[in-house]
Amino acid sequence: MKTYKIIIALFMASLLLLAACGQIAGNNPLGATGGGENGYGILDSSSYEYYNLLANLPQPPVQEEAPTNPAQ
Amino acid sequence: MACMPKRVLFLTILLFFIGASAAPLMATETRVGSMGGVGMYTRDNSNIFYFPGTLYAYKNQVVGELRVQALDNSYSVGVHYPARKQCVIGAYLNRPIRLAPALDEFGIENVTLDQSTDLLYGRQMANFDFGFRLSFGFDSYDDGDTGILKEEESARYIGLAAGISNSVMDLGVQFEMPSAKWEQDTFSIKWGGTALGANGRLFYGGETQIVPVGTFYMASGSVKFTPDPDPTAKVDYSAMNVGVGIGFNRKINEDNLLVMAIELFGMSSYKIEPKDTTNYIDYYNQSILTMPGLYMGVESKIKPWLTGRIGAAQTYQKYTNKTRNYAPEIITETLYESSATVSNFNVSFGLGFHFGDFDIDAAINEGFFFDGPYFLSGENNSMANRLSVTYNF
Repeated sequence: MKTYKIIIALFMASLLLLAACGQIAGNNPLGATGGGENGYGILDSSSYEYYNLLANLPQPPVQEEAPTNPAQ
Repeated sequence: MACMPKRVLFLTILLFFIGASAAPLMATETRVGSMGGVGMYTRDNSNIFYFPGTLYAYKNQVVGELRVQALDNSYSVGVHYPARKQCVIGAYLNRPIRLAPALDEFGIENVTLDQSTDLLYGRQMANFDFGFRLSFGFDSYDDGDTGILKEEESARYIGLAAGISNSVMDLGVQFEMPSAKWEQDTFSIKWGGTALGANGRLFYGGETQIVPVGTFYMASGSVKFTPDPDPTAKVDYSAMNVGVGIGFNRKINEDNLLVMAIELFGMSSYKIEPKDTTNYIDYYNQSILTMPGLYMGVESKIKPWLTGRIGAAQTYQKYTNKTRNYAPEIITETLYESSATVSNFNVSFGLGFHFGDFDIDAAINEGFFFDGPYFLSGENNSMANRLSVTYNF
């Protein structure tokens, strides 16, 4: 009964010790099957680097400003 | 009279603990997230989105996921209701859906496909439980102008998933069909595609279980740009996620659970490729190879009303990026390739509270413990990073 409690306590203590390293590194590991805050790993677009594709896209028409009325 | 507030506080705390019952070990995204991200390797009520057949095992629940503090759009709420004998129906509001690429990468900026509404159905069969999910989401935008300046956007998401589960096996498949459109006069951007996915796992053993896991997801589609009088431009994209791992669930006793897992192979990739001669778009391909990923977590019922969790994740990954930039003034194009091997490590820590029929799971912000509360450190740390609430009825 006591043995498993000691094992659990040591396991938790060692992970808490490692937590300091994790915080310093500031990493958030995401694998294909695990990790991440939702507990299920890489499955969303936020996992990928954002890449600006818009630089060379065809441009839509731009709204021109209406000419100022000289009477005003 | 001065003692009254203290008495009230004392009685409140006392009732708080008396009201706490010996609820079963809790289950939510926050739970598996604070155990190092072992959701695919252990049983949890958040499994229902990957293995729809598990819905029947989590009937009589209302689940709230509060993912990012004070960001209502990141919250979702669902109910699992036993409509008849051997039959459960459910619904989720505002559940995040995970699409790549994001719409604004292609110039569709005023509509989003970030959340879905889900309808769920679960049924107990002779040898397994069956589950089905229908997900949908819609959004639209109209800028209010008239004539050729009128700008309209719309987006639609349909998802279907089905699965079977029993005590030794979970299997789930899913199909997604997202689309979006931007229109202004004769200009248009039309984005759409399909995605297929499958997840499977086995549970071998009794108190100690070996859990082989496999996951597969593939999405492909295209974006068509229609400027006038230029020719139509088309871009293909694809995203893939494949992983194989082995988990180990050790139920030490009624109050303690140890989960360890090794992801033997994981590959996630994302590619954007122009498919016409106008070359408006740069070629881009990113792949992430995980070999291996290590995840572990422990859950321990400290008191009938309190459960402690701690977990860790470490990944060894190779990132490979390939890009080909289009430069109109240069006839030839150059393919750039770069790669980097990195190791990431993180520790997560969580607490679960049981109050009567309510379970609250919290992913604890370790900075709160390192720095201490505000009155000691001056650091404004929130105590929890995310919360999940489950009501069992």
